[in-house]
Amino acid sequence: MEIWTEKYRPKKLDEIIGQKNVVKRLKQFVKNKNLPHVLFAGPAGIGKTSCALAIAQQLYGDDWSLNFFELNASDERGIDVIRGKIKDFARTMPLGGAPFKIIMLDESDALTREAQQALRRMMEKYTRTCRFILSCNYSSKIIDPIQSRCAVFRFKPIDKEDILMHLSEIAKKEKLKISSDVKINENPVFLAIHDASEGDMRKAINLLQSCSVVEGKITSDTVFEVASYARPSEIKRVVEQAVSGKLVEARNLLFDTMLKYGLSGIDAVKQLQKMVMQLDMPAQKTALAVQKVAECEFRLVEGADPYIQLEALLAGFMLLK
Amino acid sequence: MSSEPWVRKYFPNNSKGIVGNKKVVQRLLEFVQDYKKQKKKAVLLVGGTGVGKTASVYAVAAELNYELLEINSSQVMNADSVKNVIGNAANTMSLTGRGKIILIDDVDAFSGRKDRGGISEIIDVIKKSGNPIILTALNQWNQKLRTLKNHAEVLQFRKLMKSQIKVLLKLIADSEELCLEQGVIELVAEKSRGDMRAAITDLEVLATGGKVLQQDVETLGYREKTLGVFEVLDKMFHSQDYHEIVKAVRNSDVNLDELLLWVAENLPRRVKDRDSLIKAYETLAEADLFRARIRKRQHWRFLVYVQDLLVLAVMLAEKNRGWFKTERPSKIAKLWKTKSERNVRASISAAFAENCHTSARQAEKVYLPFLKTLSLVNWKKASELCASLKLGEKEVEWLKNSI
Repeated sequence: MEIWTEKYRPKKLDEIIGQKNVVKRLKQFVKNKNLPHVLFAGPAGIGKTSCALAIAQQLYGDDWSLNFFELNASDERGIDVIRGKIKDFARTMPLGGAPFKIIMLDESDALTREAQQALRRMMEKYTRTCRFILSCNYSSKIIDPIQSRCAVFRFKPIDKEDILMHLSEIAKKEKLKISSDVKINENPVFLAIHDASEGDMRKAINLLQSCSVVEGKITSDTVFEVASYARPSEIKRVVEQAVSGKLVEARNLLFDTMLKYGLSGIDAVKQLQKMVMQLDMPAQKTALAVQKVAECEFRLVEGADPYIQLEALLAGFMLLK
Repeated sequence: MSSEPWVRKYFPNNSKGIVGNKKVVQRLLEFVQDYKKQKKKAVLLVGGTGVGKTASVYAVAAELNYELLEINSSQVMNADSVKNVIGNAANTMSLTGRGKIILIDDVDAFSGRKDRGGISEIIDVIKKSGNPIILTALNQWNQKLRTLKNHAEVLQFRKLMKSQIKVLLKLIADSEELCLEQGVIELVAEKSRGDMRAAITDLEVLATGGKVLQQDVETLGYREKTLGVFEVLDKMFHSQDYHEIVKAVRNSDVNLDELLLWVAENLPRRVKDRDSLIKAYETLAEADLFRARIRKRQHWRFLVYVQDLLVLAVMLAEKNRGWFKTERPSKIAKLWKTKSERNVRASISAAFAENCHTSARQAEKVYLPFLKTLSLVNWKKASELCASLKLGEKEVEWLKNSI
């Protein structure tokens, strides 16, 4: 059984959806068989990794994986990785007559500053044998010296129409049972998937595949149901308990839920925000809730401790009653 | 008169001679006697200074006629030196054919930097050891001891009561034929605040000048006592004197990071009304924010504000009267409890990450729910996917159980 996000991952730059300007420039690099160090910045699921993979495949052909090394910085973020794995790959000559190797460092904004400093040296030292493609969600977390050594490409969120179109193409190829008597951009199934996946193509395709395994015809209800598996129902109870003043219960349930679903502090804030906005309350209280949640998320981005900040947020929810 | 300090001279040579903590000492004796039967191959004795941790070990060794190999943090204790010093000893009999106890004193005093790897090496030694290993520490909540505690049974020594200290002081006074004014023993015991070593040392110092008067006791220096986390919290939740609380925080061996978690855990049970609680959490969260800013900007001066905000958060809250059990931060306990489940999730996510050009973190959010949905509606397809991801038995089992 194949995973659709991989099955339908573009093989060539021309197949990349959206990102017209970026792709135009990247194609030029491939044509000239030269590539500077590049930094791809933008939210998740809009084609950064796909572009990198497409470049490698077009530059190197079938044996592309020999000269292409992919590492995800969010899983291995310390300086040891830079000094170990990356250095080992970078310092050896490219194989099969390729002009240079490519190291793809995904989510490089997760690298520690120390590691980024080490990386910067390496980028200079091994330019002859190796080029770096760095990708990140937030370029502000990349140190200036690295940004200055890279051509920076900003990826834009994919247009809604493009996502809907792509989903319908996959649906057609997979022969999914989805009502086709409406126009694609009015199809409730695709619209629901788009809403649930927040412009993230990976999530969207994955959600479509999740729906496809459910028996029978796919409707927007299927989408809601399947999407809710990924959304912990406990969060709603957390909010209810906090609002009614049961702080200890709310806090314990929230932390258990975070651990159970592997949610980070920011993930949890996002879910709490959605949930609290659904509460039926006067506008003044809604405003208060927004302020509290916003401040909490801001602090987490600043690096504050999720447990303490979330607990304070839940305490603040007691004012909503 | 012997030149040995009294603290050593009056070390009991029998476990019955230990003052206080009877049950704990009894358990320690059993542990050494029936070492082969023990599930955990080490014990960790925890408690403040002078409550009898090291003395108990000496007493047990003497009672059972065991040889005692003692190591403490005065030596460098990195991975290599641990291996050299105790690695061998752990598996050899003593030359005389007697049993052997290995005592590692003050494990929480190991330096994180210089003694790198020391504690994990100790754990390795424990796993393979043929001789009882006994560790001591002041503060069992020290982060450094977290993993160690999985491999060692924790025995908590309580602070000694004044009456218990008095008994031993009297015994020593008689045996040394001291001439004491009425009430001296009472004062020395009082001043020691549950620290037997301090009490005996003070008595010895006083005895050097002939007859001891009550007023002599007053001339002895005041000991700054390192406070444990419970004592600091106690101060924070009961005192209304800002300076006193700050002093308690400074004198403790609990760092602010830990203290923040402890306070967060205990606030809701202790603070009286809703508004007061909300305010307290707001201030606490601000303290935490400054902690984050220190890290980000390396501006350590902010530490003052972390401390002040933390102290004020608790001090200004309207608190419930009476005694409340201090709970330990559930975060740490929860992390432990869910460890195996989190490991399974992590390994499934890592498998997806490898196959789908993404991070394990992303994979956990996107692909793991997909796999669960798939398992729910179509187990055959799910197990196919598991096979192609080369998931282990444990992972597949977990998926099956989560349906």
